[in-house]
Formats: sequence, C-alpha cells, structure tokens
Amino acid sequence: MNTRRWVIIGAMIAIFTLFYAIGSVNAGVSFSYNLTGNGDIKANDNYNGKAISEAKSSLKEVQYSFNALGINSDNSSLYHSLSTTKAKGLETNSIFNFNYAAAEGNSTEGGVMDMTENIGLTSIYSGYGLGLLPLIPASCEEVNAYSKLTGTNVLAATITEVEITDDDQLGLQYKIDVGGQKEGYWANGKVSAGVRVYVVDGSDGRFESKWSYEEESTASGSFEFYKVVGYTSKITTP
Amino acid sequence: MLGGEKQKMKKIVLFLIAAILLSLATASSASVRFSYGADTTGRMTVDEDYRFNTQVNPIVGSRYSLDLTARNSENAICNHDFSVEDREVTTETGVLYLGDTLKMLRGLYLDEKSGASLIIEENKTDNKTFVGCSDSTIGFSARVGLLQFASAGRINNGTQMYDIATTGRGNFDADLYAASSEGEGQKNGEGGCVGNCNEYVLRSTERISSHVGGRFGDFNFTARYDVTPPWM
Repeated sequence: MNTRRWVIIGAMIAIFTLFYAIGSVNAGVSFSYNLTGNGDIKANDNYNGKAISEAKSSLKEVQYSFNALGINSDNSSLYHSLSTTKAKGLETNSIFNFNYAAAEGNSTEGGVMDMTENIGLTSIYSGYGLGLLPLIPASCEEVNAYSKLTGTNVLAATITEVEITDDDQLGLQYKIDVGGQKEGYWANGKVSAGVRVYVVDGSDGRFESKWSYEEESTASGSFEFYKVVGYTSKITTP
Repeated sequence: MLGGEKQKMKKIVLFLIAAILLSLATASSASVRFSYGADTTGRMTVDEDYRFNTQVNPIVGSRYSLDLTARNSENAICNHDFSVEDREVTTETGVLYLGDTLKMLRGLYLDEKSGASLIIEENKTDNKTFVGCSDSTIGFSARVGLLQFASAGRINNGTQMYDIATTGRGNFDADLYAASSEGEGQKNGEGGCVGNCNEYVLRSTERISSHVGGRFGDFNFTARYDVTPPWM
C-alpha cells in the first residue's frame, strides 16, 4: 500500500515537472500597445492563420489586417491588441482617439486620420461518398467584414472575434463604434462598414444550396456610427 | 508474488526519479550574467549581440542585440542586465537621454531586438510524426532628441516575451513578426519509415506582423508582446 502511495507521489512529481518544463499552457501570440502623442502615428498589423484537417477534409483560413494613420495629430492616442489561441481563434480590440492639429504659421497641412480594418474567414470542406452511396457535395464559406474611416476629430473603437477551432465552431463577429472625442460631440469625416458573405452548402446532400449577401453602410459629415456584423456557420461536417 | 510486485513498484519510482533528474541535468547548460550602468555627458555607445542555437532535435535558437549611440548628450544613462541560465535569456534595459541643445549634432539612436526559433520533430502514436517550426522577432528602435526607456524581455525554448514603456520626442518604431507551421509525417515510432519518409503533410500555418510608430512629436508608448508556438 505504501509502495503504491510512493508511485502516485512519484507520478505527480513527474507530471508537475513536465508542466513546469512546458511552461505556459495559454499558447499563441498576443500583443497590445498603447501610444499617445503628437505628430504622426502609424500602425499596421496583419494576421494570417490556416489549418488543414485530414479527418474533416477541411481547410479553414483567417485573414486580418489593421491600418491606422494619423498625420499632424495633437494629443491623440492609439490602442490595439491582438491575441490568438488554438482553443478560441482570434480576438482584436482597437481604440483610435484622433485629434487633429490645425494648420498654423508656415504649415498648410491640417491633421487627418485614416483607419481601415478587414477580417476574413474562409472554409472549404471536400465532398465525399461511401461506395455506391450518393456523393455529398463540397461546401465552402467566404466571409469578409470591413470598415474604412477618415476624419479629423474622431474616437473609434472596434472589436473583432473569430472562432476557428478544431471542433465545428466557426464564426465571426465585428463591431465598430465611431463618434466625437467627448460625450455629446460628433465625429467629422466619413465612415463605411460592411460585410460580404458567399456560402455554398453541400452538407445537406443538395447542390443548389447557395447564397450570397453584400451590405455596406456609410456616414459622412458629422456623425455617430455604430455597427455590428455577425456570422455563424451552419455547415455540418461528418 | 507480492514481493515481486513491490520490486516492480520500486523500479517504477526509481525510474520516475531518474527521469526527473535526467530532465533537469540535460536542461542545464553554461550560464552568462552581466550588468552595467553608464552615466555620461557627451557620447555613449553600446553594442551587444547574442546568438544561440542547438544543432540537434529540437533545434532551439535565441537572438538578442542592443545597439545604442548617444551624441552630445547633456545626460545619457544606460543600465543593462543580461543573463542566460539553462538556455533562458532574460534582459532588462533602462535608457535616459537628454540632448545638449547648444550642440547641433545631437540625438540618440536605440535599437533593441530579440528573436526565438524552434524546430521540433516528435514521434507520435499510429506511425505518425509531428513536425513544428516557429520563428519570431520583436524589436524597438528610436531616433530621438529626448527619451526615457525601460524594457524587459525573456526568450526560452522558442517562446518570447517583451515589455516596453517609453516616453520621448522624435521617431520610434516597434515591430513584431512571428510565423509558425505544423506538419505531419509517417514514421514507425522508432526513427524508421513507413512508406516514404518524404511524405510530410502541412497541417497549419500562422503568420503575424505588427508595426507601430510615431514621427516628429512627443510620444508615450507602452507595449507587451507574447509569442508561444501554437502547439505548446
């Protein structure tokens, strides 16, 4: 009995040592930065992740890009974070608070900001058949959510969430909120945000299940703008 | 029969303890540690370059470099700690620069860069071999007339972390690049091949890049970067 206890204790030490050697179990890449200042601000972040599953005969891909540019800013700030884990997928957050510097003296160039963000999700499932049983056609999904923003006095916040996991969860959510820098103030400039979806679903055994959707909203001048885009895959895989 | 089982249990316990000690022994390697503090008016230069690579599976690499040139400073300070212990690299850097406004040629150039890489091949069950490959680089560089900078970094076994907090006036850039890929091959679990050894299949790839910078102004910048290969 005592020997068995020693074996269990030994095994527990070995397991503990193994976890200690492996280190963090929260695998993936993450970063966040916060910049405040005057002058010019420039940020550019890109992500591309691709996974191929032989068991599910599938290919899943996520593309993400974020570009922020502020010229001649005055007391502006930019926050951006991105994290990716195998268990969850991709998450990003951004807050761009841009205050322009007016053209003064010899300078004829006033401040202006420009921000674009794009999140894309692609999945392809191959078709299959079993002997003489009917063939299940292939399926594919192409989803793209985006925003484009230019302005002078702008506070913009965005959130991106993409689920692309080993099990069948697949989806995308994009939120954008743009307004003036202070409560009750409006943003000055132009914003567009939209989504494009193209789906061919052969998982139900039919070829004709195909649909596409495109939509874009735009505001310009002085505005407050809020938009949420969501997509959840309904394709079932064997 | 009971005595035989006890002997067997003892052997298992001894084997586990030996395995733990062996893992600790093989993990240890040469250690390097140094730190310095420099405080000057006028000119100061710092140039450091560290590279490490193992040659056998898993192939682990670490890189670190620091390049600093302060010209005509009214006050320039650089405090730096660097250590390598069991292949784990840790760094801490603190820089303060104030240029002498009476001199025309003044300014600070700072470039701190670190990188990690890992290539691993493991035999798995069902005649499968896992192959993982990752590489990442994180860096901060600045050309400024005024700067207060603090960073802390760690590189270990293909993972890396980098923390920055800085304020200054002038130009700066912070960059991250990370790429990884995972593949699967066929082997019999003992180093031999099942079929063709070249039959590797790519399972996943990941690529991330980040760049943020400020130009011609006052800035206050903080950032944290964490990179871990996805299969870990």
